[in-house]
Amino acid sequence: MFDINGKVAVVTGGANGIGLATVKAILAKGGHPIIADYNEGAGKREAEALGIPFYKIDISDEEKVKEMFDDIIEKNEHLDILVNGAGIGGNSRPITAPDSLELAKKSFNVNVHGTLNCCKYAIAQMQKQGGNCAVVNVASILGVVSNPNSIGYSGSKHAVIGITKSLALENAPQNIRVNVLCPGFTDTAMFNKDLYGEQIYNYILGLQPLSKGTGRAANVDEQAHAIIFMIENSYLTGQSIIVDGGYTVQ
Amino acid sequence: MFEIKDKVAIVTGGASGIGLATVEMILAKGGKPVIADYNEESGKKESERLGVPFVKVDVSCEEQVKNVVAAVVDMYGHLDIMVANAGINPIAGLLNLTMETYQRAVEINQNGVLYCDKYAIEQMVKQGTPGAVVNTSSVSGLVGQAHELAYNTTKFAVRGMTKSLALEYAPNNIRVNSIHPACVLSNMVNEDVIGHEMMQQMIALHPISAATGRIGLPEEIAHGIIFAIENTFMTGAEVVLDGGWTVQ
Repeated sequence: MFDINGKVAVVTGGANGIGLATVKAILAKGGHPIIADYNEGAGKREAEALGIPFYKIDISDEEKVKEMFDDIIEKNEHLDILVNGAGIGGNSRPITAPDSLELAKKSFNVNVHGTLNCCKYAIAQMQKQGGNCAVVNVASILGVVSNPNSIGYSGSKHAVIGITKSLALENAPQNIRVNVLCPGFTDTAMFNKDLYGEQIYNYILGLQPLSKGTGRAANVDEQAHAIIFMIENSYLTGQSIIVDGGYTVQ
Repeated sequence: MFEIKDKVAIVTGGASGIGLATVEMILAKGGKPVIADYNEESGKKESERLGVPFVKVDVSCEEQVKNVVAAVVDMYGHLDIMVANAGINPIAGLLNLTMETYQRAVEINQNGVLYCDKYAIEQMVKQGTPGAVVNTSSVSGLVGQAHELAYNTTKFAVRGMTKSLALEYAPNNIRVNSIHPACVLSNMVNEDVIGHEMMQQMIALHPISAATGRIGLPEEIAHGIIFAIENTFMTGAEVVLDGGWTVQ
């Protein structure tokens, strides 16, 4: 069992949704989470409320990511946990649409290159301090199965799962475990009734078998619970944990 | 979060190894685990040590499984968690596997899990309360292994029935997940029993073992079972605890 107590954790996308729920769960276990997020307003507000550091970051900017990790490591002397929660959704276009590639590249820039940027500088430090660390990436059910018009999102989330497996094998000898969460439809700023409209929202819930039993989408605490499990379990690496109420089982 | 506190749980194969570690964790969380095991001696011993009930069961016998569920419901009035964990691994390839041994593996590993799931879920539906079922499969339920024909076949079956039951009982908010351990230290698998050389070969199968120098621990797998019980939005899923074995 990997004890979160006393560990330093960077959570990208930590200012809201699954990221913020993870920050709170790490804090509750005596860890030292740091919020890294593009959203300065929410980031500052949540960090202040929780009494923890906040870094404004565009994870797709490698130079900025490096500077952020340099500063975090200088201030904390070690880094034990990285949760790559930051990502962008949407951008649904058929491939023949004029802006399809531009939008897909935007998804890949954040979801893939952003995740890689953070992995690179975090893992460099984890190796330097002798390993025994945990990285959790966040993909999606669309990293496991797919939808039409989702080359950007689904493509990039599939890549995140592949990256996770390769990094897990590469870093196993240092006991740096790398796993990935694949959330199903979860109430967040990216998916909610207001954004999708009641009709489409309910249609999507109908696709998620367990929503028939619970009458709701997943919540962010259920996803954070899985992230905490992946951080803590000392024999788990390279794996996808799919918290989707049975969506991908069908 | 599915709170384990005060929940009644049957753990088959609960007298040793992964099952016993699961019983201990459920107990530590304030749950009410029942050890169900074929081995009367260790079952009674662990039951006394932990102060939890023990019922002797041969999971390959449908009537016995039915009676165990009935006895536990008699005892506590409800059943909330089933950990169908009992299994055997007859190591044999196609030409040296007798049909009798094969049938025995099917009866215990496959039918045994089915009986446990059937009578537990029947009770959970009757109660009308949320429930959690965790079936122990294996990495052998995900990838092939030479000379483990019966084990491979039956552990794939466990993985399949998990998904079917997950979909069937999602409307009842009964979650069904499978656990897939790789090599785990136990009474049967340790350096004293299998020897140093065999243990080193086993260790080499798991990428993470390059760092830890050991195979999995029962507590690490039990930790995955507890997670599968507690997470309220995971169903039909596979929790693969293999130190990276199947990723290669």
